[in-house]
Amino acid sequence: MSELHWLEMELARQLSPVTAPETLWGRIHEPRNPPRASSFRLWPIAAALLLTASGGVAWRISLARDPVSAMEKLAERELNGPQRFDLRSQNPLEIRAWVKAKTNIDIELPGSSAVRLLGARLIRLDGGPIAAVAYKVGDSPATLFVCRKRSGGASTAKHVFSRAESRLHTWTMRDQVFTIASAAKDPQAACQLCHADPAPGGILKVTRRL
Amino acid sequence: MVLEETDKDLVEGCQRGEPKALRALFERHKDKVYSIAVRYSGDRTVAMDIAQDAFLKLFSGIRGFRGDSRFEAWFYRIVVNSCFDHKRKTRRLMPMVDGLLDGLRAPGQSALDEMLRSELSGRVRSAVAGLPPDQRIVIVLRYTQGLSYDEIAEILGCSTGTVASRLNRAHKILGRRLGGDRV
Repeated sequence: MSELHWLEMELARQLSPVTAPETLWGRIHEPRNPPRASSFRLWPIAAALLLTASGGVAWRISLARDPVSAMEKLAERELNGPQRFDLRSQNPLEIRAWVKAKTNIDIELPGSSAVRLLGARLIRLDGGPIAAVAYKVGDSPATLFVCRKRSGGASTAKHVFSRAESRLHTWTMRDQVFTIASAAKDPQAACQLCHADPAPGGILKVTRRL
Repeated sequence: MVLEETDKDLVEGCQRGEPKALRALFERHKDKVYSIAVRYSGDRTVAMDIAQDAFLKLFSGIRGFRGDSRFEAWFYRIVVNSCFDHKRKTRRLMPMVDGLLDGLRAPGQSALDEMLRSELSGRVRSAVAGLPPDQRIVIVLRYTQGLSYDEIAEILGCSTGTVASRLNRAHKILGRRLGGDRV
């Protein structure tokens, strides 16, 4: 038997296909596992987690009672920090598919030319997923946060605003809670993510129009 | 008779956002993806990370698949890129463990045969793991998936000649490293 033939047979034997573990599908549905860290590096992470957890207990309790309020608090915090991404993309279809695959939340993004999409991020809050879609209106950063409504309340296909101020717009629609956080001077500019021509004269007009 | 859905049907279902199509496409390709990942990385834990990455990239990007190339080649390219992207953080202990377990499981052989087989198995996988990434992936696609030179070239986006050249170089390196093991 020639050297090459022996080698090819041995490679085919040693590199033969294997069966994927049953747990693989679960890994794809669950959020990404954090990278493994060696034990001597774990204590600062554990300490930080403990601090974060203790600091957030009251906030989480309020989240369980009022997801809208919790979303707005999250949005305000995010608005004051840098935009972060799990997926960088300007493609509305790719962002929609990614969000759907990671959270089972369906966000229709019409792909308005008035805004520039930047990407998306998955945030876990009180065990539930929140999808954050980051974009820019002119030079101003904005983020759309979406989560599922827990339970109760009527389902509506229209926007029902619970807050409409200069920096935060929150509404519920189709069993989902939406919050737009934007630093733009024009309070309605961030709505151009879905509405290319926001009605002039204030957000309440948009409410009625929708 | 149950008619099996083709990749094209499943891809179209995924593009429409149908969860059943996503699951069916996963079931159809999971073993191939995991096999490439585990043979490339030599580590089952790392392979799970690579396979997870590859399927997440597939599901988030499938709407961008326009059918200009074969779906399988397009998806294999995602898998290969996931392999290349993954930085090894742990030592390669699993090939040796795997080899030992394979040897223990092999029926109808003497203890000495099993030990020799196990040792050779570990050395072959270790030698493959030591190849440069571009040669290692060609070896894995060729011997784990049994792909032709043309198919490998389509996945890697290079010429058939380049594939042949990488395989030839990899064979020479492996032959040198394993030459003493031939029995």
